[in-house]
Amino acid sequence: MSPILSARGISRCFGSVTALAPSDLDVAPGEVVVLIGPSGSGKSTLLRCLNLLSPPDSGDIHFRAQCITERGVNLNQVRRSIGMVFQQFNLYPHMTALDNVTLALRRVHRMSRENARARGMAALEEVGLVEHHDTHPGKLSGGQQQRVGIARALALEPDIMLFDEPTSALDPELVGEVLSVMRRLRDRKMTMVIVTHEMGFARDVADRVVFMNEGAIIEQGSPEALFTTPSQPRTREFLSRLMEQR
Amino acid sequence: MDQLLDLYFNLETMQRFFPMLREGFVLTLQMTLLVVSIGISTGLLLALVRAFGVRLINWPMQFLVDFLRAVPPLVVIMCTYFALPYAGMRLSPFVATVASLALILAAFAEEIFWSGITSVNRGQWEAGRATGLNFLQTLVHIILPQGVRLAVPLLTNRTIEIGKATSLGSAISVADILNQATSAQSIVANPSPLTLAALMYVVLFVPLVMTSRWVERRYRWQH
Ligand SMILES: Nc1ncnc2c1ncn2[C@@H]1O[C@H](COP(=O)(O)OP(=O)(O)OP(=O)(O)O)[C@@H](O)[C@H]1O
Ligand SMILES: [Mg+2]
Repeated sequence: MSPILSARGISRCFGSVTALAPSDLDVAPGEVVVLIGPSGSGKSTLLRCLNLLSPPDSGDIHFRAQCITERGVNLNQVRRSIGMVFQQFNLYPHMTALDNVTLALRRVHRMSRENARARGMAALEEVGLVEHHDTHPGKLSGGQQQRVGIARALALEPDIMLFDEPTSALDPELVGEVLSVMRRLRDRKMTMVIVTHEMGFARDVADRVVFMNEGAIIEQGSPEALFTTPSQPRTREFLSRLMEQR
Repeated sequence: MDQLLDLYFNLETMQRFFPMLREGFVLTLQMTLLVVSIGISTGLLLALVRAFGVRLINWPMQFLVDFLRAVPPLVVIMCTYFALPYAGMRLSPFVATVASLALILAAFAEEIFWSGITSVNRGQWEAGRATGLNFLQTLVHIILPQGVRLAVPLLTNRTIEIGKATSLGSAISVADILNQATSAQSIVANPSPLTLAALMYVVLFVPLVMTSRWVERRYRWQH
């Protein structure tokens, strides 16, 4: 199947730091790709290049057969179809959960208040938070906040969703509820690129695991292959260090 | 004690000059409302313009803002009133005072709004842009409401301060409360009109102080 998202030779520098060396990544429709790697290895940078939140210095990205790194592309239009979920949730604290979810529907999709509300409630339903639609983020638990964050991305009916360590800021007992929402998304064939340190989850849901180190993609493969028989020494080293921490 | 009462609370004198001071009250009220509304909205507009980061606009604007914040309000009023005519622009004392103070408040308000805008977490920008909102939409719907909330306490203090500075207009013969009171005082050689003036300032600015309290409460959403 032809990829829905295809990055070729994308790279990103911050001053003298090469956060991302020229890298390729293809994501097929319905595929779940999990990015793993040590801190500072460029996972977030790669993810943020994909929706051009921080545009790559070089390389091309094709999304739904359109080159989105060309000049003159309407990025706002592209980003509507690429959902993003952040480590720190980044919910709007001055709005209720529902308004968080519907803001872009009303302002970008120009939906009427009623239609946006219906779509927003459906998205909140999907993450199990309908009853909290009128609550401000500050009154929600971390897990609930992240589920609102997922609903906000989901409401735009994206073709692909990017997750940057969605559970890293959560207390351990709240991780499960977020992961189970993501499992449900996988079950309905949502295309996802997920940065996570939850290796058990990665093993479960990933179609492909990508290991990054020092700004480069070192190796990738099925979870079984990567976790049980990694071919690169740096992958083995990373995985064994993870095991020790357990 | 009686002497003190007679000096500062001479009811007869107060009564006699009340109509005169009432005119001053109306003028001060008009000036304050104009200064506050023009000053704050201009300040907000300038902060929004600054957010676009166009150097050719921002540098001169920064210079002007710093200048207005550094120079004493009375000096700005004097310059506007006495110097501008040489540039072919003659303003009435009323307009000169309002324009000067509105500009000064705009300068302070711009800085306050700007510091509010910049102290909003970068993640808020990213969340907005990632859902397809453009720069201006993100600024207006996400960043500004949070920045304004941070700005409100500073802004209300500054607003009250500049509002009270309308009394400086009496230096260029605006017939405001203070001016009317000092005229009355010199006519009867009794400071009771000043007491009346003080009461009028209280009547005028206590609601402003209370409004600011209300605004501060309103902008404190649940965290
Ligand atoms: N905005 C930025 N400015 C400067 N340097 C940055 C910026 N963003 C990332 N970097 C640098 O780029 C490198 C890769 O960072 P990145 O955040 O992509 O790593 P990561 O794999 O997501 O790490 P973590 O697991 O800690 O989130 C790091 O050395 C980081 O310091
Ligand atoms: Mg990261």
